Amino acid sequence: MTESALTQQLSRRQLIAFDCLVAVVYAVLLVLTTPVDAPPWTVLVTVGLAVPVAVRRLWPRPALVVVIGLSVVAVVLQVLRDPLLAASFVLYVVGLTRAAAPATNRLLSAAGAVGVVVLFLGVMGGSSRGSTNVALVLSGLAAMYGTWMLGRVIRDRRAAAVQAARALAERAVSDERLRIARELHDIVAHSMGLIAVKAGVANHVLKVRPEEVSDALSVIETTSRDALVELRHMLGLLRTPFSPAPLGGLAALPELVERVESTGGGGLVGRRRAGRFARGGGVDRVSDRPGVLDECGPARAGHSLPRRGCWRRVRRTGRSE
Amino acid sequence: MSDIRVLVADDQALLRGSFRVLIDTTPGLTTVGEAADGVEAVELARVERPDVVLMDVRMPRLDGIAATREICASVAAVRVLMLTMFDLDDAVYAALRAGASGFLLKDVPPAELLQAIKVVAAGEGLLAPSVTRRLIAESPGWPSRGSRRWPGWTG
Repeated sequence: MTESALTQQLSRRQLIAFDCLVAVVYAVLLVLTTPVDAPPWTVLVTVGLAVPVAVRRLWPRPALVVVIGLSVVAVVLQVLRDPLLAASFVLYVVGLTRAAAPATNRLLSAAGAVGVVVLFLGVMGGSSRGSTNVALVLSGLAAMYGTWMLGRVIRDRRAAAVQAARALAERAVSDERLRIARELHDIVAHSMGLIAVKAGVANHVLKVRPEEVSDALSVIETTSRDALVELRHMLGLLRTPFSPAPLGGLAALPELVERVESTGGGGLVGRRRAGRFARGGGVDRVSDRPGVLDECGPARAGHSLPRRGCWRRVRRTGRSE
Repeated sequence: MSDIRVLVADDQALLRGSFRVLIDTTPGLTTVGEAADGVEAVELARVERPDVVLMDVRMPRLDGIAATREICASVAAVRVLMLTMFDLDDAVYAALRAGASGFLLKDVPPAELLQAIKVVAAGEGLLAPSVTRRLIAESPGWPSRGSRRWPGWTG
C-alpha cells in the first residue's frame, strides 16, 4: 500500500518534470522558428504559451485560462505558429482531472462537432484564400476538442476501474462472510444435533441403563464447550479483519491527522491543511486508515486545489510512520 | 418372533454408541453391527443381512444415499431408514429414489425412532412429519382444472 503510494507520487513528479521538458522544447522550437524580423515581444508570447504547459498538472484550470488567453492574443497579433498545441496539451489534463458540469460537456461536444464539420468542409473546399491563420485556428480547435475528449475518456475509464475494483473487494468480503456464516451454522447444527441425540437417548434409557447418563452428560459437556470455543473463534474472525473502516464526516479529519501524528509523523502541515480543507468543504468522507482520504465529494468550484493539497499532505504524514 | 436386527451406519462414533444403547435396551430390537462409513455399511449389510439399516446421509468414502442404493440392490429384504441432521430436499428425494423406506431427522425423540424402526421392519414406509409436509407441497396433487404445473395431466 505504502509502496504503491510512493510510486504513484514519484511518477507524478516525473510527469511534471516531463511536462517541463516538453515546455522547454516547445518554447525553443517556437523561438527558433520565429522570423528574425519579428518584434521582440513575440518571444514573450512564446514563452508565455510554454509556461502553462509546464505547470498543467499542478494548476490545470489556471494554466488553461492563461494558455487560452495567450493563444487569443497570438491569433489577434497574427504571431500564431502552431495549431494551438499548447492549449490542447493543457486541456487534456483539465479533461482528465476535472469534472465538468453536464451543460459544459454538452456545449463542448456540440462546439467540437461543429468545429470538426467546419474544418472538414474547409479542407474539402480547399480554403482558397490561403489564410493560414484560419486553418491553424480551426485545426487547433479540432485538436483541442480531441485532446479534451481523450482526457474525458481516460478519466471515465479510470473511474470505472476504481469502481470495478471496489465492487470486487466488496464481493470478496461478502463471499467470505457467507462462508463464515455457513461454518457457524455447521458448528451449531453438528454440536446441537449430537447433544440432542445424546440427551434424548440417555433420558430414554435412564431406568435400564443409568450409567449411560453420566457418559451422555460428559459428551454433552465436551461437545458444547468445543462448540463455544469454535463459535468464539469464528465470531472473532467475523469481527476483526475486513470490517471496513468506520467513516466519519469532515469533523473526523483533524482526529485522523492527530492519529497520523501519533504514529510518529510530523503532521503539523497536515493539520493546518486539514483545517483549511474542512472549511472549504471539498470532501465529505474520511477513511479511518492513517493517511488515506477515502471519498472525495463534489468539490465546489475553486476548492479543488485545497483538496488535492490536503490529500497529498495527509498521505505524506501517513508515510512517515 | 425373533428380534429385529439393526445395523447402525454413522460416521460419528458417539452417535453410533447412543443408537446402539437405545436399540439394545429395547426389547425386540438388537444391534448386529456398526459401520463408520458407506463402504463398511454395504459390507456389513451383505454379511449380517440385518432387517433394518439406520443410515446417515453424510458419511466419508461412500455417502448414505449411494450405500442405500447398493444395499437395496444387492441385499434382499433389507429396509433402510435414513437419518439426517437436516431434511434437505435433495437428500430426501435421492434417498427415496435410492430405495430407502424411511427418512427421519436425527433429533427425533428416541421413542419415535424405535417405533420407526419397527414400522420400517414391518415393510411400511415412514417419513418425518416435516419431510412429509414438504413432499405434499411438492407433489403434483390431484389433477385439477387449469393446473399449469402439469398441463399434460389434464390434456
